[in-house]
Amino acid sequence: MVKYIAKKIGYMIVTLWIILTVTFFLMNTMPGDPTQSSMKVLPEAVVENLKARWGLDKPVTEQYVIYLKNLLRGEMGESYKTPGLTANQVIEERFPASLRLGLQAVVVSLIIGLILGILAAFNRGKWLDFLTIFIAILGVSIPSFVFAALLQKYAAGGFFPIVGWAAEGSSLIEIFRGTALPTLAASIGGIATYSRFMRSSVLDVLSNDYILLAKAKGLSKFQIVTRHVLRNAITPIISIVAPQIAGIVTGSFVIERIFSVPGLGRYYVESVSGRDYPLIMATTIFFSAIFIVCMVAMDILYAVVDPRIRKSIIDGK
Amino acid sequence: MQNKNELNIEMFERLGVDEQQSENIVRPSMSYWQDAIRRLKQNKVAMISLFFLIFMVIMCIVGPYIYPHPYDFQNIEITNQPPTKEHIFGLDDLGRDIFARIWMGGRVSLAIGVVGAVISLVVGTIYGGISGYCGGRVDDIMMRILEILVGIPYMIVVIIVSVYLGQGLHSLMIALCLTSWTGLARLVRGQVLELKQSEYIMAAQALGTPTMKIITKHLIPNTLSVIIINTTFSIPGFIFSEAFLSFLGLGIKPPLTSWGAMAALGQQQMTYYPHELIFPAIAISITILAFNLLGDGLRDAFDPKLRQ
Amino acid sequence: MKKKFLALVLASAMTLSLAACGGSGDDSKSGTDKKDGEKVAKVTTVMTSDPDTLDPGRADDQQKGAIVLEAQETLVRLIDGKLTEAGAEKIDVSDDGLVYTFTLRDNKYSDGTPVKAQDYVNSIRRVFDPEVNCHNAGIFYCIKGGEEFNTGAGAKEDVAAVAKDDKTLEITLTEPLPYFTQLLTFANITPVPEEKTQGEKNSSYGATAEELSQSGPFYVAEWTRGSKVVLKKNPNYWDAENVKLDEIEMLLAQDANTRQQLFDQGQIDILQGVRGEYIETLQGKIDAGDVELVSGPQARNAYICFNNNDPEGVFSNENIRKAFAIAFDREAYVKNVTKKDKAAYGEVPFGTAIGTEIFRDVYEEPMKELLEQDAKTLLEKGLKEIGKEGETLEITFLQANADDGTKVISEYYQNQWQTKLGVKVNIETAADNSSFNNQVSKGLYQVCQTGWGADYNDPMTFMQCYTTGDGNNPAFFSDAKYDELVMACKTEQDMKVRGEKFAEAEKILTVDKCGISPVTFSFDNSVVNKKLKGYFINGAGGPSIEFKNAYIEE
Repeated sequence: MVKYIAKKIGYMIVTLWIILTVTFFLMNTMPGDPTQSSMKVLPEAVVENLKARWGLDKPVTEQYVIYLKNLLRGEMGESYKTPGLTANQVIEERFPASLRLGLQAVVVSLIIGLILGILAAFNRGKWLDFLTIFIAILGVSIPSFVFAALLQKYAAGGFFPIVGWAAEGSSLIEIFRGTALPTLAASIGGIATYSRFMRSSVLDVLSNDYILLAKAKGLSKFQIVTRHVLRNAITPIISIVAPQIAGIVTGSFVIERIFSVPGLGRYYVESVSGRDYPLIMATTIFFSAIFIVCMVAMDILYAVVDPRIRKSIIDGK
Repeated sequence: MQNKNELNIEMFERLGVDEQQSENIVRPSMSYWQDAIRRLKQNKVAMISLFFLIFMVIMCIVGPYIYPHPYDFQNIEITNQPPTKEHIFGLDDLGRDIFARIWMGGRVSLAIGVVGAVISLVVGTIYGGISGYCGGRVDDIMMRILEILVGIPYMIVVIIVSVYLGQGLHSLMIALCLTSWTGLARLVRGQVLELKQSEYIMAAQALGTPTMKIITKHLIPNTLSVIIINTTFSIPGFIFSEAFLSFLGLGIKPPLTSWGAMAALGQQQMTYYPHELIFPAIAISITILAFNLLGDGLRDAFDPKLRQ
Repeated sequence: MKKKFLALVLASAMTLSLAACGGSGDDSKSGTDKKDGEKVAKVTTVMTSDPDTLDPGRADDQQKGAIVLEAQETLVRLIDGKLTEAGAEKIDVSDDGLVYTFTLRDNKYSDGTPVKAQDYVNSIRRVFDPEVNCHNAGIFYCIKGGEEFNTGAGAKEDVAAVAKDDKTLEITLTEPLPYFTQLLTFANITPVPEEKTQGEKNSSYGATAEELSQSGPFYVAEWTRGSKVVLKKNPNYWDAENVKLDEIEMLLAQDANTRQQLFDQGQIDILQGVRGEYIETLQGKIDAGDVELVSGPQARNAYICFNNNDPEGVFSNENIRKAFAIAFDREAYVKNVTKKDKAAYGEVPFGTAIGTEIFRDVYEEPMKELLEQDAKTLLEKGLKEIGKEGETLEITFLQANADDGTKVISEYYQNQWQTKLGVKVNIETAADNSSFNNQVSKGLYQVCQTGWGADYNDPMTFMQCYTTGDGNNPAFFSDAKYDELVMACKTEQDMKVRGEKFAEAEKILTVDKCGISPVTFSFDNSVVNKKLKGYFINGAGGPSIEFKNAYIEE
């Protein structure tokens, strides 16, 4: 196990390094540069001056070496757009909201999605089955921003605020008030996906002989679900949850925008369009690291729920 | 005491053994495919969905020709008009007929949705299958490549594609398919990792079956349900991605439109002119519903575990 | 009722427990609340973008300006749209118009320390300081030594803003700019003590509210990035007795629907830039007098920008430019397509003043005569001149983004040009704003739509852009006579002569040469809670809404 984790960490560092290298050079081939992010054109001399200050006057390869050196010292640089705001600060300030929104959304969508999926599978071909298909289809074919806007229009204003995220450390009821609608908006896609995959995978499991045996033994439906079905049907869910956590934790730009959630999503998008190089790099590295950790977690989870997979992954057979 | 129900010898008749007849096949012999298609045909919901999709495709092809209002004519005086007898789905923000635009937009969206889904289906299945089956170092490397692809900011890649490859349909497809297959690849890999420890795979290996054959004949058919769901579920993703990419300068050129673009516009207008969101949204939803129901039917038909 | 019900259903669906919630919120509604037995006059408004810094030196967009200008005192302030002495109680100008001497008022920062002339000097130096990277620096190049310091050719001590003593500030200009006092309404020229911007702090000042020195009618009491800014009355402000509001809360709401939702629910008191359809939904409340509709011009225009150096050699032709400029009806365009703003037939928008008068009141828009010509004939003439007679012209229109507002405009032009001129129009979308700016500033486009908003209230802010070689001349327009006229207005003191010169230059730009073709002048509609009084919506310069004298009417 120790060897396995050491190997994974080794891979992670190499992968991150490749990602940041590729991103660094791609970023520099994008048209435009940080001095052109605003409509107003700066005088040539000022542009030169700025570039010199940011080190952009050096060849890209040299900039890259400097960047790597700083990174090794733990410095991800300062935002070009907001001098004084370091990339580390952006992540420290903005990550908690994104993390809360992301995790809440994943939990809500997992709970609702899995229950719907199991119910649908057990009621295959009946109205409940069609109802879940219907919900799922709405969930994937209505983009989350439309859903968010609808929620805001019809559900906010009374108990739930239209905008206003609950600060960390507020009371439970305040957190519920402030985060319920954005969370719901962010979970709709997940509910749809999980319920569909769960239904299908439960159906697969139900056709196995051991379920027949369990039924024959007189186990109740509930027992069958908890003892046999869940464990065997969960693999595809693990495959989709892991990357989804990574995506949603780094922020959902549109939902953040509509509900004014102080999350990271905005920086992930705006740093690219504003050519704020240090922020692009920082958010990319941060996102990739989370994604890779989720991928490792995915493999470990596979192994936990299914001893057969343990053999393939951990032992490398 | 004689019981009326008692069996007696008269009640039985000797049939004998007919050597020739015992070799007769009562059920017609069917290949995997024939059987699957037979079962698909029996599935009413799936067949209705199939016919609906065929209808949509036909309407997208001929609709713009038989409908009297051209999709790009601007009735500037009556923009945003709600549905009327003349314009049954109403008009958009430039006074263009939404009914006509739905069929024009359907051409783009259906084509992109289906082509995108098929490309990711093929690439994702093969990639995930190989990675999961081979395992070990191959799996490690293939999964790291996937992580790298996902890790690089998509927006940067798209901007670069649009600047260096131009803004045509080919760059749109490249941008769409660049990372879309990774989800399916992970799914298939997960399933294959689980399945490859099964007894029947071991048996096949022991019999010396070639690797490719094991993957295509045994592993993939058994992961079919997740593949089908993922594929039918990815179609709306492509339809909306196309709209997103048009914000980054890729995507189709105006006045051509797509369902994604129409829905994106409708979202801005929904407070005042809900019809501009509702009709494209309905078009997307029922098409996706049909794809999913057909997908369910296909899954039932092709899943070897359900085969009798 | 329905809304509350839905909220309940949704909430319960989420928690799967109906009991979890009930009752409606007790959101502190704006207006006059009782707090500790004392009345608090509070106004709530929105921010359309998340300010990244509150450093006055970096306050170079409208949103940051709106905050900083309430928290800081400028030398002169726009009160009800009129330039009024504020931070300075007396302004003396030398006879040659080059030296401005300001006698400062006894003003204090919110922490009680007095405002000194040196603090203004510090902020003026910081405008040009390359480390600060103020995007407005170019506007202040009229201050001697500024350009040199900004471009790295001079030192900060050479910037000609000096404190004669604690109460006297002297600024020397390079040329006698007749509109210099207009520039003093900028948030950039507000006092910042030098000790606050030493070393590292020079570039990072303003990253938090706590470190700010605030000399305005209000001070930033709370700033939660990505969420809200709370301004409170500054008790040490020199004119504090005339400041009646105790608190201004600014909520971040980047989405237009969100903002309307907030206004509908009475959670904000004023909302700017609303569209016509929204006003229609409020018509009942407007008629009942609960909501006030305030409309007024904003000094901003939108224009079709032809690349006068068109690499394809099409829009370098004057007649072709004219044909495209007039081949659609501006009135129909504003009425049916944009549904806001006013049709423009000149470069300088309504709401731009020249001296004490409004430019457009005195000088008629020049483009109307051009519209009487026949577009098709002009096009044919032009095609002949570039040797493409009889060919179907194919051009590419570059749109800045694919937002709905932009898309509808480009598709309208496309349709109009194709049907009225018989040309083929392709629409190309820039990958993002940086790409668009890059492409346009390098001249790698044929025609696009862009616009310009007044930096200060004088026609110069619009006219200067199109002089030969100006950095903000995306059309690459170049005309010797135009340059001469506009340059003369930089030093000409007689506003009447200036106005005539501007009008003549405007005609060259939009009619005779048709280098660019203005389409609309901005016209802002704001909806306001009827209880809010005494505010002023500025069209050019100053904070977008001035709250200094605002109050809540019971």
